[in-house]
Order: sequence, then C-alpha cells, then structure tokens
Amino acid sequence: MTIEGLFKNRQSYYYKNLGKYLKYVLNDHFVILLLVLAGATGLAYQNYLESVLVEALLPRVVLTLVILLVIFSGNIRTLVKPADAVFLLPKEKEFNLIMRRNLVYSLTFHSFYTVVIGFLTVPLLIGIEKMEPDNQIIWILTLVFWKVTHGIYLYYSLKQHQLETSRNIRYVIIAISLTGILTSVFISVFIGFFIALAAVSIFFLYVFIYTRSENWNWESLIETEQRRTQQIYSIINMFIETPYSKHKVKRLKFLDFLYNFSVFNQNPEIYFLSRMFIRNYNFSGLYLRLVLIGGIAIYFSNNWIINSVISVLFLYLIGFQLIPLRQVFKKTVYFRLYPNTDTDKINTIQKLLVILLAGSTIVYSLASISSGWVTMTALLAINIMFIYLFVYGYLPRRLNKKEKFS
Amino acid sequence: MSLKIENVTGGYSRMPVLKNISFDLNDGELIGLIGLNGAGKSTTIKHVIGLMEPFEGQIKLDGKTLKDNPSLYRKKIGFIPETPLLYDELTLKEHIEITAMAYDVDISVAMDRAIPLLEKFRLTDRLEWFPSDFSKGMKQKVMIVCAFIIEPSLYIIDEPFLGLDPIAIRDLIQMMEQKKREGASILMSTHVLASAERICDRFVIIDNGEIYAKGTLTELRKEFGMPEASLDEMYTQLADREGFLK
Repeated sequence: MTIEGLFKNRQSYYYKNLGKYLKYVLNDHFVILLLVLAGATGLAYQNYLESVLVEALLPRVVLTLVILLVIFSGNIRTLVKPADAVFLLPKEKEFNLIMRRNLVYSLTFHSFYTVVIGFLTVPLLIGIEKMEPDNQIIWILTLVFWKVTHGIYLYYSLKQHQLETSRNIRYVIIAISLTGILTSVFISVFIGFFIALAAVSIFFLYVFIYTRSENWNWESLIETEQRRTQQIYSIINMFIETPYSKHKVKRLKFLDFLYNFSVFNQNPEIYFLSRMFIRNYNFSGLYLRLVLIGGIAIYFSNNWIINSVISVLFLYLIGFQLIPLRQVFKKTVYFRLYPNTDTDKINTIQKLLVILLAGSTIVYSLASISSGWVTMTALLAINIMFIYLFVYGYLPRRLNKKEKFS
Repeated sequence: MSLKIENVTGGYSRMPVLKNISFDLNDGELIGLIGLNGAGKSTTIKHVIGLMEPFEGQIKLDGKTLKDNPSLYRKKIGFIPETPLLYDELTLKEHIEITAMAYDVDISVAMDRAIPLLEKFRLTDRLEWFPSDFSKGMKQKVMIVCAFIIEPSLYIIDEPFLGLDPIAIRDLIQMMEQKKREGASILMSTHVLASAERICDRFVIIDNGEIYAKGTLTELRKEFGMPEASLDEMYTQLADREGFLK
C-alpha cells in the first residue's frame, strides 16, 4: 500500500465516521433549534445595523474580535495517528506531499467559512462608513489572506524548529495580523488589504522556499491532530456517546478539599467516582456548562413557570448526560477484582447524582431570587421532586435495562 | 496458603485455551509459570484471580473456591498484572488509599507499609502525581506497591521484571523472598528464565494450554535427561525439540 492510498483510506473512514455521528447531532429538534436561533440572531443583527452610529467604537471593537476569532481558529486536518511516528518515519519525503494536500484542503475549508463571515460583516462595515459597497470583495479577500497566513503558520509550526525561531515567528504573525485587521476596521480597507497581501506573500515564500527542507515534528503532529479530533468528538459526545472520547484529566489540586467530605470516602466506588468526575473534564466540564447556562437563563427570566421548566430541563440534561458513569465501572478491571465489590454500583451513581443535582438546584434557586421568594420556593420544590423521581425512579430502571442488553 | 488448581479447562469463547490444568502451590512457595507467548500463562492467572470462570475443574484457595466466599477469596490475593493498570484520574497517594479501602486495610496502616516501598522505588516525592503519566517501569513499581501493602497470602505476579531497572529487579526479588519467609505463596509468570531459575522453588511449564512438565529444577533435569543444564538451556532445547505451540 502506498502512503497516498493509506491516507486516502483514512480520509474516507474519517468522513464516513463523522457523517454517521453528525446524523445524530443534527437531529430534527436540534436543527429546528438552530434555525430558530439563527433567525433570532439575524433579526437582532438587522435591527442593530439600522441603529448603528458611524462614529461608534463598540461595533469596531466587536468586529475586530470576531475577525480575530475567525482567523485564529481552526487547525490543519492531518489525520496523523500516533503509530505514524514509528511506521511512517522513513517515508518523510512522501509524507511532505500528503501534508501539502492537507494544507490545501484545510485552507479551502477554512476560507469557505471565512468568506461567509466576511459577507455577513459587510453591512456593518458599510454602516460604520469604512467601506463602499463595491469594495466588499477587497474586504473578503483581506480576510481570506489572513486566514491563509494563519493556515501556513500552522503548517510551519508542525515542523522542527529552534524554540526561539518558532516563538519569534508566532509573535510576528500575531502582531502583523492584528495591525492589519485594526487598519482595515479603523483606517482603510485598502491599506489593510495591502498589508494582508504582503504578509501572505512573504510568509508563503519564507515557509515554502526558505525553510522548505525542515523535518516534521512528529510529536506535535500527533498531538495537534489528537487535540483536533478530540474537540470535534467532545461536541458530538454531548449528543451521542462515541468511543472516541479520550478523557482529558487535570490534577486540579485546589479542589482537593472536596475529597475531605466523608461521603466521598465511604467505599472504593464513590472514592473513585467522585475524583474521576471532578478531574475528568468530559464529565465536570459538561456539568459546569449546564449549571452555568441554566443559571444565566433563569436569572434573566422572571416567570416562575418558565424558571421551573428551564431548571427541570437542565437537571434532566445533567442527569441524562451522566448516565455513562455506569460504563466507568465496567471499563475498570479493579472493580471486578476488589473484595466486597458486589456492592451496588447503581447506588453509588445515585449518591453522586443527588449531590450534583442538589448543587445545581442551589445555583438555580439563587439565580431566581431576584424574581421573588415565591418563584424561588416553587422552583426549589419542583426541582426536589424532579430529582427524587429521576434518581430513584428513572435511573435504576434505565441502568438495569442497559445492564440486560449490554 | 495453598492454591489448588484441579483439572481446569477454560478460555474466552467455547474453544478452550487451557486444557485440563492441575498444579498446587503451597505455603511459602514460589512457582514459576513458564511458557512461550500465547501458551496460556496469563489465561491461567486470569482464572486464578477470578476474572475468568473455568468451564470445568476447580480452583481452591485454602480449600475454598471463589464462589464459596468471593470477598474472602479475593482479599487473599495481591495481583500485579503484566501491563500496569492504573486509574487515569487518581494520584499515586490515592491509588494507595483506594487499594487500602477496597481490601479493608486501615489507610494509615497502608501508608506505613507503603512508605518504605516508595522510598525503595524512589517514588516518595511523586505521591501527588498521576501515575498514568509515569514511565512503564515506574507504573510497574506503583502496581508492586499497591499489591504489597495489602499483605496478601497469595501474590500473583505476571511478568514482573519487564521495564524495571536492575536495582528495582533486585529489590523486588528481595521483597518476594521476604514475603515467602513470612509464609506467603507466590505464583509468577515470566520469560526471564535466569531470574526464575534463581528464585523459584518449582516450575510449571505450559505449552499450548497444557502442562508439559512440572517440578523442581533437579526434577526437571532428571526428567529430560539434561543434568547440569540451566533452565534456559533446558527450556529452549525442549521448545525446539518438541515444536512447542505448533
């Protein structure tokens, strides 16, 4: 098999897999939600455009931030796997070709959404009188040039360099693109365009002519690609469980005081589960996000019915997303080797869930205090009822059912 | 402690990997389980620790099977797997604590037992680290510490020397000999025949899921008519002559 064939296979497998999961992510409910959100945002944007002042500073700052975010986001899709560092090492020359293709591919993809964002920002630029409508192509090309510069930088950063050189290059790229974008937004779209053109040409020559022969840094190739796929799968994992969610584990020493509570030291199961939950960002990050989003939504609403519905919805989401905790015990051989581990693992999960859901209920109640005591009490009462039903009614049945079929 | 394996047949699917295996392990005895890759050493170990159930035959620890009293059976075994198995989310100190908790050892007692071992293995200043980030040898040391702090009466050690530095190998051998003197039994599988020859009391040679031979070094020499031969010489010649695993 040629190295080209190998990557072709990988590519088709990668997209087949991604497509399979995207079907679940883009389910009917979520698509409708997205459409509604997009519609609402579009409407708000349109209203805002009508009222925007020519001299206003805020829209310029926001525009700059959005553009920077668009330009500096994204990675090169390389599809490199850890084992490549061993098996493909003798084929670096052939791999160069693959990497150039990856770069072209990723640049095309990134340019596509950059163009879309570019078109969306055109009315704002016209609104603040930085641009004539005829010149919008100049603005969009500027954005694409910056995006390409960033893409080439990513390509360049995957090769082996002196630490100092690569740091200097990074600073230069950041400084120049910041200057260029600020020029476009605050001074002139034309000057900004020429800065972008110059930057992309010079950097292109530097990377592809001057430093062409440098070797690949396989460790960073592997690490970047794993981080990239991890990011994609961590989003997908919010909708459906995939086998690709490698956990990110952080020590989080400042949270060590939590483990002093005796409830987390009763038996090996809860000992492990509590620490695992906090240090594994897949779980704790999800929990934190849902608590925060729910809390903010409740804070901005004054109606007790809406507040209660939102809080129950978020409690359900939290509880539902934590059901995979059951798998954690299955995957760990030790819980089959320990003596006394015929104890009820479902019981342990229930215990942790009650603590977590109670915690989020407290946050939601505090967030609803501003809407009055009655609202808060109603929310609290409904939440407690829900937690009881979910943890002691639904959860054991659901976990036992899973047990039977797995 | 005595381990009795009686006519055990077992495997992963219906095709048995182990065929009618029997051997005993007495108090204060160290048995070396010897065989090529895929001969059935690890499968035998999995049956003993209870991760797999035999299709036929029985495994008895002090006269009791796993089913008779699971928690008593398991408490008697300290297991060091071939590949270190660690919790990604727990620190070294927490590995010691959770092991103590699972085997009903008081946490302070477990720490007292662990500290000299940690010092021996130069791990004391890494108590707050995640062992899953350690090197292979250091992970193996963590596994050794966790098995030794529960002071089991039966140690089951799968390929203990892989990845360990020479000092750690020497220390581990000393620790095993110490435990033997205290009356514990050890079942060890290994490919490092020179070390095995030095420390094992008896050997069980497994080939293709069957016991090919068992006994002390002298008994094996006599059985195969190779007086003076080392275990290594004897085993490689045997493997060639008999066409093991074919």
